[in-house]
Amino acid sequence: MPELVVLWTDALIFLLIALVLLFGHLAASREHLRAPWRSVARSRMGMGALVILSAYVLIGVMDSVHYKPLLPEAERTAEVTHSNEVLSLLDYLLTPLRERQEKTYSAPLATHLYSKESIEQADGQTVRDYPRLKYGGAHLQDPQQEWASDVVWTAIIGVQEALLAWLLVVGIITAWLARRAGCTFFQQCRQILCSRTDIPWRVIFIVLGALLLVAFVAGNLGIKYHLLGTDKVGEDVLYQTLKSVRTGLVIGTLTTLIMLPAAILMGIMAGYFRGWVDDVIQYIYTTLSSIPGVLLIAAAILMLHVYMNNHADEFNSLVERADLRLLFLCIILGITSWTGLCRLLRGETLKLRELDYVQAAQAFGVGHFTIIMRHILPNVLHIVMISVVLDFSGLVLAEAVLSYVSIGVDPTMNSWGNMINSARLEMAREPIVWWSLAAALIFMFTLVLAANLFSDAVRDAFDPRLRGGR
Amino acid sequence: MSDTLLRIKNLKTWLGRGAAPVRAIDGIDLEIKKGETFALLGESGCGKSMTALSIMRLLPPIGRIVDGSIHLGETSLLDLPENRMRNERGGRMGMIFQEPMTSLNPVLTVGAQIAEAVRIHDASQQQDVETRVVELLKAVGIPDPEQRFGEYPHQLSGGMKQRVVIAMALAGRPQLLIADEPTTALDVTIQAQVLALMKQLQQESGMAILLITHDLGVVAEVADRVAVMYAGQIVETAPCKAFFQTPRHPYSQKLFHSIPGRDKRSERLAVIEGTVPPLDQEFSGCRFADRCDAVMLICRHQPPQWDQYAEGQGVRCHLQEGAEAAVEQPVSLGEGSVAVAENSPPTPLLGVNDLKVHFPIHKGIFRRVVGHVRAVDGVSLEIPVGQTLAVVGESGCGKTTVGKAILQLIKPTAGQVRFDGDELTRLRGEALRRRRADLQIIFQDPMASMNPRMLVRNIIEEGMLAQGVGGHAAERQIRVAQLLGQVGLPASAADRYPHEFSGGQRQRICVARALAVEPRLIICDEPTSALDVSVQAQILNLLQALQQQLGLSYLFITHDIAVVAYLAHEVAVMYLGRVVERGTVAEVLDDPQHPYTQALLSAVPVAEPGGKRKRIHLEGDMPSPSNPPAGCHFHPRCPQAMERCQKSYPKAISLSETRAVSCLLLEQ
Repeated sequence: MPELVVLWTDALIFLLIALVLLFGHLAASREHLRAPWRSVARSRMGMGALVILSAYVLIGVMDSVHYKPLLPEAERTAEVTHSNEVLSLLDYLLTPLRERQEKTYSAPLATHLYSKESIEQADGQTVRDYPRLKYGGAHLQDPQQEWASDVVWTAIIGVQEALLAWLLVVGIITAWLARRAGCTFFQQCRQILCSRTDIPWRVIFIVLGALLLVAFVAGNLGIKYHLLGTDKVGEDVLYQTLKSVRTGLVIGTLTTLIMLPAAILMGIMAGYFRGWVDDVIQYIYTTLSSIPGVLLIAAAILMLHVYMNNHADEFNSLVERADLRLLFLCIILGITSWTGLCRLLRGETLKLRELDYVQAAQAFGVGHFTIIMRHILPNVLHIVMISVVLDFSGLVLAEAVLSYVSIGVDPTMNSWGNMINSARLEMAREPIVWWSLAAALIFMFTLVLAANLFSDAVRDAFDPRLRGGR
Repeated sequence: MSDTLLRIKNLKTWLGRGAAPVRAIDGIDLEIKKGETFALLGESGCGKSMTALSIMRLLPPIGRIVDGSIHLGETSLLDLPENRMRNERGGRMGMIFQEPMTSLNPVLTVGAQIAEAVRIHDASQQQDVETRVVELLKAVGIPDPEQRFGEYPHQLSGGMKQRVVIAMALAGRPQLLIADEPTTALDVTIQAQVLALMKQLQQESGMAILLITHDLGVVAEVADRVAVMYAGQIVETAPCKAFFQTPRHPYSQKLFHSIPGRDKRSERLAVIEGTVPPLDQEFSGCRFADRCDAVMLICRHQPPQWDQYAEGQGVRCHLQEGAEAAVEQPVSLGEGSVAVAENSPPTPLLGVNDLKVHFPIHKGIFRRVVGHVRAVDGVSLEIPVGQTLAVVGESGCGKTTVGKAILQLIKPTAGQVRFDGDELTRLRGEALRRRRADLQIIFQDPMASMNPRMLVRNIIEEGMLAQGVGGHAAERQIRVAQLLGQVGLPASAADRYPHEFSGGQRQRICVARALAVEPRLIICDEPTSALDVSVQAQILNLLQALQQQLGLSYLFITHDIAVVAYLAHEVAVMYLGRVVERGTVAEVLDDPQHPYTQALLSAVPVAEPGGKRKRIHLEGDMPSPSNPPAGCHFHPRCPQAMERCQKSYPKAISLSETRAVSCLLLEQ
């Protein structure tokens, strides 16, 4: 049995998932919470974006289940049965990508390296040429002749598989919908096709189709070639970008998880109690927000760096070390970013506490804590919701910027920021290596765009001023 | 027909598309003659404002005019292209909105905003816009117009702002002025000023006014002709005098019966049961049938036709003759219980002595206290068991603050509040919390006083839980149902959210919530001013019935004299944080002694046209409570002010056991 390893961020991610599920359960029984989410579910843009986001989340969650694999029989001893290396479920699934390491740069879908080397030929002569890749396109006898048709055929097979998978998924969902609505399968199909359903299933299916298409074509090509090329040490760029998904998601979600309690507590307290409590909290957040965030982050990360170097033996593996740094980055980003939400909540609470129902509760002699939990918190929750979703994309981008100036995540950790950072040198190379940068940008762009579109839908649904319009 | 200015024919305005559009206006016809004041009367949600917006073609994006025609003079407004329509708006037609606060742009000076209107609509004055603006400001009775020209809206009081809005509407020399509830947001004394101004402007310029209002008093005051709107249709049109003498439609009659007043004290007010039907349906019968007492079989399945029985008079009802006889007479309540309450020697339940609430004004970085807003400045009151004390005054006089200070929701700065032997201002923590069950409050806006995220059941239970009364869950459930029954709601209401109820029903829930902890005194903070007349009658009936059943005492905070006359036993009139006159209802309302009380009473519009009463017009507005005038606070506005009034605040002079007035006039 492989040994399960739970890293700090893994634990927090699962805690977050548990919280979301709990909230979902809670929301399902309360009309005022369910209604806005129902209108999110009706928004075409929102649901399309949600499908993309779910794909990212799936990758991220798979990458958050870590374990130490068993050593091969031969290497096992009595004490040491597990490898020192920490892998994730995603690593296991992507083993073909992970293990096929080339020598150095190779272009996307290439069969040869990107730089010339001296090759010793069978007849003993040495020529300087682009050598064949060890794995990419290794099955081809004559790359020049066969490459184009092989790529096209592999892609076509991918398309066919994608189509099959899509039909399967769509069929199952439609059948389920038809059973629920109590109509025949074909009636349901027509409903979806004319987009007469409440939830925009047509859009969901189209986006899902596109997603499956990309996934299957990439999967098929990725096994035979390096779809997005390789980096300087010959590692597959597709694998790197997929691994970076988790980093981005962790930064985007854990940071808010960390800052939320502080922001909610302080914001509501300042607004509700006013007086000296308000003064103290206001001074804290005005002070904090007047220190440049980057400076604070740099100082904290450097301090952590020193600590880690001095206590190197406390960390069992590189992965654990990188993980702690990631967590620390989340915390420090959280500390610098709670002030905005806190200020919003303070203002809203100031307004709410003067409302008649809060006064009525005070006239009943209801305690402060109960008033906050029963009357204030539920009525500011929509602001929390909106700002969490809106902050997400900003944080993903912030990670990239911070890693670029190397105060972000650990250099050994896969992240879009690190990829962009290393692309600095690659762009200066002649001929330039563009695929690392392009891959990171495409993946990040898709995630942030989907998150922004989704947050738009959420904001519209929760905004009380827009609610009347529908 | 040359004297007809505005002619609307079969206008239909629908809101929303979809399967069931809301038929906000469902075929109305009306004509307004040159120089007349035409009042459009009705409850909220009847389509009055939509009519005004349709005429101006300023409907919200979801609204559209589906049928009909609107002619202003010879021009068909609905056929005009948008750019020509822009010239008509503010040109031949001016409009005034309800809330002067939001009708003016806070970052532009008053002069600039009027000048904008002049530039667009008055071609003859392009050279000398400024002179014209000053002229307009003078016309609407703003003192010192040259100086006001450069001031910002926040420097003006509410009444002044409404005058500026009127000046803007007058800039294009309109032939028709549409006034959408122009005085609803204003105090009675200011309302009287604005109404008088509108009347005077009309006489000077000969324009017609379309006045939209829900207030029968205002109609009686200024209108020449009246149209009553109900559920998107006009149900009755008549000249003002004829309308007030013999209202023909059952709805109009009911409206009159539901107005509270002195003469109805021992009766239940007539109420119009139910609410305006939802307008997203096709009506197969009379729209009023469900709420009408005189409903006949024919009303249910045949829509009544418009019956024009005289020139300019018509009614939409199946019964035209003998209508009055069919209307239910107001039910008389047991005379005895009221009499008992009035005759028994009053034992004071609540005694307030020299109550002061001052809010400090902070300035500078060190938040130094530079002054105080004297919201309440030495108020003494007494409420006997089972009686109602009404606190009357204009907005800003501190009446709400008195209520909250009694409840200890705002800590009083000084003074005593004795309740049943306890000194509330000294109670702390647990003792105060236990006392809270005895004093409860009902607020003005029933929507804002309930947490929209809680079920009605939880809202009513909140007080019981906090006070630890009502036993365990099952017992509380029974009690909630019982309370809902007490306020006339079905027990099934408990499992719904507040937004599913109408305004009147929401206020009933608030009453039920207050009753849940079995209070002895309820502070009613303008509980009916956000409601329509017919709904107001329901709530007043409920409050009166509860007082008789449970022996409750009320502190009734209001600005509505009619409600006071109907409900209260004693009255205290407040001005700028102090009580200026106090006495029983009969004493104060019949024979007001303080000049402010006299002016306040005379400013209230009464629903009797042509009633010639002595009018006392107050000039100016209430001064700021942070800087009250020296001496008697009222002397700058007082028509009978003497030199001595500026020297010192007059002491309360006791005229009888129940009566006290603070005025120097009475010292002689």
